[in-house]
Amino acid sequence: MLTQARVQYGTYKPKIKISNLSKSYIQRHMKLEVLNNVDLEIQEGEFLTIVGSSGCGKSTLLRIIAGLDGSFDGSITIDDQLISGIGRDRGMVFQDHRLFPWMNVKQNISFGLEHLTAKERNRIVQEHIELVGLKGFEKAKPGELSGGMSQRVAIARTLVKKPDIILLDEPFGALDALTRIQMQHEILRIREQSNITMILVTHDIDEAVLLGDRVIVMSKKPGRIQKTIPVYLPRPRDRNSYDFIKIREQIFNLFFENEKVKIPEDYSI
Amino acid sequence: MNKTFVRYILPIVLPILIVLMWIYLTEKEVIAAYLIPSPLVVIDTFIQFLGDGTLLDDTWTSVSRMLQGYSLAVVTGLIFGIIMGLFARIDQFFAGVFNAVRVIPPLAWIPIIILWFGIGETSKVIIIFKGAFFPILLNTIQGIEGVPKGYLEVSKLMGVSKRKGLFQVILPAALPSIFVGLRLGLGTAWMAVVAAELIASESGLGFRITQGRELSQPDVMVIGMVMIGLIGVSMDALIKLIQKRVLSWQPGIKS
Ligand SMILES: Nc1ncnc2c1ncn2[C@@H]1O[C@H](COP(=O)(O)OP(=O)(O)OP(=O)(O)O)[C@@H](O)[C@H]1O
Ligand SMILES: [Mg+2]
Repeated sequence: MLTQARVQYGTYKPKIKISNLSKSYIQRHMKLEVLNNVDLEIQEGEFLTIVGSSGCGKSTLLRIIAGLDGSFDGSITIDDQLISGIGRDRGMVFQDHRLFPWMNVKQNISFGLEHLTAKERNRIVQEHIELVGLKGFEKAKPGELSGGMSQRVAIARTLVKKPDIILLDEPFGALDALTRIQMQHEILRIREQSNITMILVTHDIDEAVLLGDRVIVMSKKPGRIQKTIPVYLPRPRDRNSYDFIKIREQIFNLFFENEKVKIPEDYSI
Repeated sequence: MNKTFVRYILPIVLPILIVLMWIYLTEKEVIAAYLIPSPLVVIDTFIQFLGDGTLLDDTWTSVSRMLQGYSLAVVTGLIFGIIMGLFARIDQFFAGVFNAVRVIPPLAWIPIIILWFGIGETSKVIIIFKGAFFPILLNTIQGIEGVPKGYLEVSKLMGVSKRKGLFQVILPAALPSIFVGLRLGLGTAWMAVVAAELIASESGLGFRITQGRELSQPDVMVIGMVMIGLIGVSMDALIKLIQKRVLSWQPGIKS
C-alpha cells in the first residue's frame, strides 16, 4: 500500500532500476539468449517476488543484480548509481545455503563482519542468532543442522551485513511444507523490523503471493517479464481468503498459458 | 559383535595365515634356509639387534632422513601448490618443467644427484624431497582449483579481505585434497629413503637390507623389510588420525 501511495503522490523514486537488460550465454558455441529486454523498477522497502518456470533466467537476473555477473547489456542502477560488481548494499541468499562446513553457526554468521570490535561483533551475531531462532546452536556445524536451520543461518549471515537489498534465490525450495511456512513467516517478521528491499525468487506461487507486494511472472526462452501482478492484500495475509485465491489463480493461469498445458477442469484449491 | 569382527579380527586373519605358512614351510625345510629364514631365526636376530642398539639406530637414521626430506617437501609443495593453484599464469610458467622433472623416476635421478652432491646426507634428503614434493604439489593445486565456485561467490559478496578469503575459505575447502597429497607424499618419501639407502650409505634400514644380502643373511634382510613395512604403516595411520581430527567437519570422514 505504501508503495502505491508513493507512486500516486509523486515522491516515487526507484531503489533499483533495471533498464533494457539482456543477457546471453554461450553454450556449445551457440548463443543462448537468457534474458531479453527486462525493464523493472523496485522501490525502497518493497518485497518483490518472481515466479517463472525452470530455466527462464530468474537466478541469472538475481546474480546480475547482485553484481556476480557483469557481462550483460542494458543498465542497472541502485539509488541512481550504475552498479559495477558487488557492493555492500546488496546481500544474497542462495538456494543451496552455501554455509562453510568447517565453521560453526556463529563463525558462519560473523564471516562478513570484519571491521568491528570483537564485542560489537558478538553482540550483532548473538542478536541475529536469536532473530532466526537458533539460540543454543551457536557451536553446531552445518553438517549437524537441518535444511531449514541451515537456510536460517544463511539468512542471518546476510542480514548481519545490514544490506539495503536482499536477493533470495529460492531460499526455501528444498524445505518441507511445514518448515517452509514457518520460514515464510520468519522472513516477513524480519522484514517488518527493517526497511530492507527484498527480491525473492520462488517456484511456489502460493509463496509468491503470500510474501510479495508485487509478483513478477517471467516467461521462458528468452526470459522476459510476462506480467506484473500487484498484491493489494493486507498483512498478515490469509492464504485461504477469496482474494488470495483469486490472485493465485490468475498467476496459475498465466503459467499454464505459458506452458500450453490444458488447465484441469476441476482445478480448485 | 559382527562389527568388531569386521574391524579387528578380519584384518589380522591373513597376516596370521602368512606367518603360519612361513613357519610351516621353513620348519619342514620345503624352502631352503638361505632363501627364507625360519621365523625363529628372525626373532633371534631381532632380539640381538634390539639389544645392541642396531635396530634403533637404523630406524632413527632412516626416519630422520625421511623427516628432513619430507618436511622440506611439505613446505615447498604447499607454497608452490597454493600459488600455482591460485594464479593460472604462474601455473603455466612452472607446469612444463615440473612435469618433466616429475616423470623421471627417482632411481633415474640418483646417479646425477650423487654426481652433484656426493654420497652424503644431502643427496639422500634431495632424493626423498623429490619423491614427496610432487604428490603434495599436484594435490594442493587440484584442491585449490577445485574449491566450489559457490564458496568463492559468498566470500566475494561478503566483501572479506583476500587474506581472510584464502585462510578461511580457500584453504579449508582445499584441505581434503591437500591431505591426500600429504599422505601420498609421506608414502613416496618413505619409499625414497629406502631407495636412497640401498645405493649409498653406511646406516639406515635400507643399508641394513643391502648388508644382509652381501653377507648372505636373509634374516637381516627380512628384519629390515618388516621394519620398513611397520614404520610405513604406522606413519600412514598417524597422518590419517591427524586428517580425521583436522577434517572433522567432513560428513563422510567419521564412518
Ligand atoms: N554459467 C552458465 N553458462 C551457460 N549457460 C548458463 C549458465 N548459467 C545459466 N545458464 C543457462 O541460462 C538459462 C537460465 O538459467 P537460470 O539459472 O537463470 O534459470 P532459473 O530461472 O534460475 O531456473 P531454475 O528455476 O531451475 O533455478 C538456462 O537455460 C541455463 O542453461
Ligand atoms: Mg535458479
